[in-house]
Order: sequence, then structure tokens, then C-alpha cells
Amino acid sequence: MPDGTPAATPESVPDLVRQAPLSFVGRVTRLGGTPLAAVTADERTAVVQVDEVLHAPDAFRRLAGSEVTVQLSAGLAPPAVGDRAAFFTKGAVYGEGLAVDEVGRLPADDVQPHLTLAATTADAMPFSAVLRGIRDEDMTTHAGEADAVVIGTVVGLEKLPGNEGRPISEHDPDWWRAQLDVSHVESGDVPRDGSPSSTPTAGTSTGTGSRSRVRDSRACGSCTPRRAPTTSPPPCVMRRDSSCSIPTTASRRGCSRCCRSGGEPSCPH
Amino acid sequence: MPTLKIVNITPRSLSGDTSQKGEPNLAVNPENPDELVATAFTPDPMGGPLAPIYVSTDGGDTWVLRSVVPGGVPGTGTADISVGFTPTGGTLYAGILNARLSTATRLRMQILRTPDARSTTPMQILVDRGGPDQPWVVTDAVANGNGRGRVYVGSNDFGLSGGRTASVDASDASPTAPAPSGFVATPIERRSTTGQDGPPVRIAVHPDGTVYAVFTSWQNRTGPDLRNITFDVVVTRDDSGGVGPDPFRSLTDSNGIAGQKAAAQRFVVFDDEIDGQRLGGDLTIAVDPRDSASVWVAWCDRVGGPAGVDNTLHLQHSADRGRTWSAARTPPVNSALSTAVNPALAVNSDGLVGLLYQEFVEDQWRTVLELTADGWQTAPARQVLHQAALSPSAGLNGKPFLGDYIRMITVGRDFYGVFAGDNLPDNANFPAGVTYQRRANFVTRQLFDVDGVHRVPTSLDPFFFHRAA
Repeated sequence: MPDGTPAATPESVPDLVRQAPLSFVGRVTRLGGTPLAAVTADERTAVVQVDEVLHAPDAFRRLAGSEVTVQLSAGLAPPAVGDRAAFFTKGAVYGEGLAVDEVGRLPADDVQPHLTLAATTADAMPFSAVLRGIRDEDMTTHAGEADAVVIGTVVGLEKLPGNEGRPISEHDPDWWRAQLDVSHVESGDVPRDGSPSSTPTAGTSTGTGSRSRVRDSRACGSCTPRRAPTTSPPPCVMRRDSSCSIPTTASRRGCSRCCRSGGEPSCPH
Repeated sequence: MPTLKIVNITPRSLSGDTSQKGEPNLAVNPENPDELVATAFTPDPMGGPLAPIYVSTDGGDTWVLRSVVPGGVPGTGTADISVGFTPTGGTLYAGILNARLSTATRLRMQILRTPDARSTTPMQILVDRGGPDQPWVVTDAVANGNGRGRVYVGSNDFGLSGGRTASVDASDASPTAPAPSGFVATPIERRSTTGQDGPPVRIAVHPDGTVYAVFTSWQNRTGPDLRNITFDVVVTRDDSGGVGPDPFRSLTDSNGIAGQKAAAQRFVVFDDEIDGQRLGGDLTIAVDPRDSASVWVAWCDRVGGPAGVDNTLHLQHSADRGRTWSAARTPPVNSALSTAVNPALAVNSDGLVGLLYQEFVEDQWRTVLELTADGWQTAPARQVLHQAALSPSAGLNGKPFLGDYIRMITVGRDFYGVFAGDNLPDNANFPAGVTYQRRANFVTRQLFDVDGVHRVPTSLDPFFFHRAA
């Protein structure tokens, strides 16, 4: 069978992964139709049998073996039935089956090295290394925008006063101040030891305290750990005004994300 | 013989989902009740910037997600969201807090519209305003004098001055008018407050043009973080569709102030919780479609005061257009509901009154539907729709857990509703039965991923129900 090579200029795998939350290698089994009643098919509608998921959100990692309806990109030459390719897609309709919009396509051979390499590692998906590289790039950019980057241990938590006298709502952030025992200063003007400022504080907005269940990865998350880390904590990226401390990663490393990049933390539900 | 259908609306293609999909809402197209839209705290499944709605075109048997709501973020999708269909034409409205634009100090309400709920085109923004909280969309059940019905959005608008924050946006619901499409905001709090009203503002509309709005008028704040709230339950009314020059002044108290207290000096600890479920904003209202003078209100408060642990559901009825109120659903005929949340009232075309609520009993959350034809003078028909303890893996994502509201509406003689609950596939949890779309094994009591092989931990899902007359 021919390879489903697109006619457009191919993009790099990292570029495509940035654009597409889901990619997979699959073979076109049908053109111009779909078994999904919720999708209106046209000549650019394809059904693709998924051979292997390259990268995906957790809920879609196990699509291998299933059929996905792909609305093919108008900017790419359509494949033929039987063609095999790497499809880079974003979600469109989630029902009995999955329908996605194509944002890019590569010849299957182009991603074969990733498949081969993944077979020799403990990576969850063939593009796990690509995703790590993207995260590292983003983290470098993020750290470059921070006032300070430190490695420290949370040694104290202090609930900040409420907003006495002001209106209250169920969306109010639950602000806490975390005191860090800094063991390493990666950047910024933060004394290492011997002075009170060696335990800088970081404002946080968490579900701790009166909120027994902590939201993470939400805009109102925080870098307050759910429990004191027992191993070396990750570097925390801080802003000087402590209004919005930004931890490096998610809760698996002891912190929850604090706020959107450049945004004010909110707690909108 | 009435039938009852309960459906877990998480689609099969999202069998691997483990998010906390609480605080559901529901709209039924009155012209075509097979067309339904549900919402919940549901992020775009692939992390996109638009939040999804759940759409069914077969009466709720199957559902698909379409991401068409602006302002989505990971974790919850959009923030607060409620929906409603116009009585004709199938136009869908939504009121949301845009999660992407809201901040810790400024919520951002948007009122949205789409001519076709099945479309994948993002909903149009008609109103975009900082300040309001918990937008609550209600539409006319039938086309009124304007031939197309009206749309109402209750909210607690912190952008209003003087601490009188309860508000209603109303529009004549032109399906094509450009933004703001006739929406005009009306403050409905006329009394002094302790700086604000409570979050919920609920609305009930009658085909004769009568519109009721109820809110909790906060009168005093004391205690830690000033979260011990004393409030009145205030009902306002407009007899001309809520779109006149000075609406919601048709009902006045003995002092001539617009709005009548259905209850006074109630108490709640705002943002307290029962088993992780947030308390402090439980309120609902419904009007009898046969008689606009007959209106029902329910809310929850803490009878035990600051030292109490209860969240007691109260129900009141007025037979004179809100002028006087009397307690309904009282003991000993009816059991007290001291750990209840999320009351939702609706009345069908036969005058059958439905009360949907969730209660925490014996370490389980139960979702219960009560139906009565005599205003709870005799014991109502009572059906447990769902009962389950919180699975260990569920509810880890923070309050409000089940959500600050659920919803029930009627179309003709039928009741439609939506609620959130633990999704453990266990027949014992569904006394009236249930249908799952996502992969589930009710024998082994396990959820499975799309491949049907790998297990998926339990979480919270929205459930739809339809009681057909």
C-alpha cells in the first residue's frame, strides 16, 4: 500500500505535537463517510483504523484497534483508502466513537524511529520524549520570566486573612502562604541561608484548610504541597510580590500548578 | 403508566475519562423534546480552549460532546454554566462564567447563543460583563406575546453598587439580533443588605407573562471570615414578562417595597460542607403552569445555628402570587431532610409537583425525586434515582464536589432532570435502573477504558433522567 504522504510542506514532529493534542498511526479504511451519526460526512471525511497512538491525553491513550473519524485537512492532499500515515489531530465530536479534525499528517515512515525507540524505553507513548522536550522548552521560557527560581522545602503554611468586609463568593481563592527552606537558588535575589529571607514566602491559593479536596491543575491551584515533600522538591518559580507563585510542575512533584501563565489565579467554580 | 429512564451521559468514546463532572445543568427543546443539552464541569477532552456541551437528539438515550463554549480551561471546562432552549426555533442560550477570563477578584459572566445546539460552531457572545456570579438561564415554556418567548438570566452581580447584588438579565430572545440581543439587566434586590446577596438567583416563568425571581437577601455576616450568614428568602414578581420599563415590582411587601419575604432570618455557614459538598447556596422556585398564582420555593439552611451541622431543606407554597407563604412538606407526613442539598422544583402540566434533591444519609449521597399531586399533604411518591458513597478516587479535585446545583424541568407532563454522582457501575446504586454509554461492567463493578481492557478509576459523572407520563 502506498504511504499517505501529504502534499504540503511537512512540519517537524514537535511543531505538529504542539498543534495537535492527539496523534496516531493508522490506515484509512473509508473515505466520504462515517459510522457516527453525529458527524456530517463529506468528501474529506475519512475513517482511520488506529494502529498505534503516538501521543494523547490520558483518556485517549488506548485508541489502538479502534476506528476514528478524521475530517481531513483541506490543506493536505487526501489519502486513499488503504494508505497508512501519522495523523495529527484535535478533537471534534465525542460520542459513540471519536471524530477529530486533522491539523497535520506525516508519512508513517517518518515517525517509525519514534516507535522503534519507544519500544526500548519505559515511555508511555512514542512521542513521550517529544512531549518532555516541549515541556522543558516551556519551563525554560517560564523560568526566564520569573523573579526567582529556587529549590526549597516547604517548612510552614499560614492561612492568610480573609477578605473581611468585602463581598464573599464561592469562587473566592483560599489564600495560604508557604514558607520555603531554600537549599538552592537557581536565579534571583534570594539569600541561601543565615537570614530570615532564606525562608521566603510564596502566596498560594489552595483547597487546603477549610477546603478538604484540593483542585490541582486549575487556575486556582497553587504551589502549596498537599503534604510535606519527603524527597527533594522541585525548583519553585516565584514572583517577587508573592501574589502568584508558580511551581514548576504538577502535584506529582509536590506542588500544584498555581496560575495561568501571566494571569491572575482564579477559582471560578 | 409512567416510565423512568436514567442515563449516564458520558459517551463511550470518553470511557477513559476520570474528571470531576459536577454541577450539571439541562435544557430540553420544547418543540422537540428529543433534543436536549446538558452541561457540567467538563473540560475539553483534549485540552482545547472551548468547553463542551453534551447534546442528545434521541431523547437522552445517547449523548455526544461538542466543544462550543468559550472560556474553557483544564479541569472544569468553563466555570458556572446553565442553559435553556427558546420555546420555538431551537435556539440555545447559555449563561456562563468564563473560566479563562474570570480572576480571583473579578468574575466574568457571558450570555451565549447558538441557533443550533448540534453545531460545532462556537456559541456567540451576546453579553460580556464583569461582576456577576452563577448565571442561571430560564426560558419561556411557550412563545409569549412576542411570538418567540423570552430569555432570563438570574445572577448575583457583584458589579452592582450598594450591596444589592441580585439581578436578572432579560431579553425578548430574538434569534438573530446582534449582541447584546436586547438583554437588559435589572437589579431585583430593593432592601439593604450586609453588602451582598447570596449566589443563587432563580427564576420561574408562566405562559401568562408572570415571572418570579427568588434570591437570598443576606442581612448579617458574623463569625470566622464573616461566613455565618443570616438571610431572608425574597421572592419578586413581574406580571409583564420582565421586559417592561421598571420590571420586577409587581409584588410588594406591607411597606411597599418590591419583593416579599417567603422566609426571614434564616441561617447558614457559607462555604461549609457536608462530605465535601459545599453549602450555602441552595435555592429553587417553580410555578404551576395551570395557575400563575401557585408558586413553590425551596431552600436549605442550618436550623442548628452556628453550632449546628445540618443543612435542612424547607419548602414553601404561595397560592396568591407570592403575597403570603406557608410551609409545605412538613412532618409527620413527610420526613425531615436535614442533610440535603441542591433542591430543584418543577411542576408539570397536570399540576404534579416534583422536588429533586440530594441528601447525605448513611455515608451515601442519594439523589431523590419526590412527586406529589396534593402538595405533600399526603406522602409523595418517592424514587431514589442514585445512591452511592464517594469512591476513594472520586472527589479529589475540590469543592463543590457534586456541584452547587442540579436541575429539573418539565415539558408538558414529563419531567426531565440532571444530577451528578459517583459513577461506580453497581446496580445497587441505581434502584430505578440506569444505562451507561461508557464502558462499564455491572457484574465486576468496574469501569473500563475505550479498549474494554484497562480499568478506569471511578469519578463523578452527570446523569440524565426522564420521567415520561
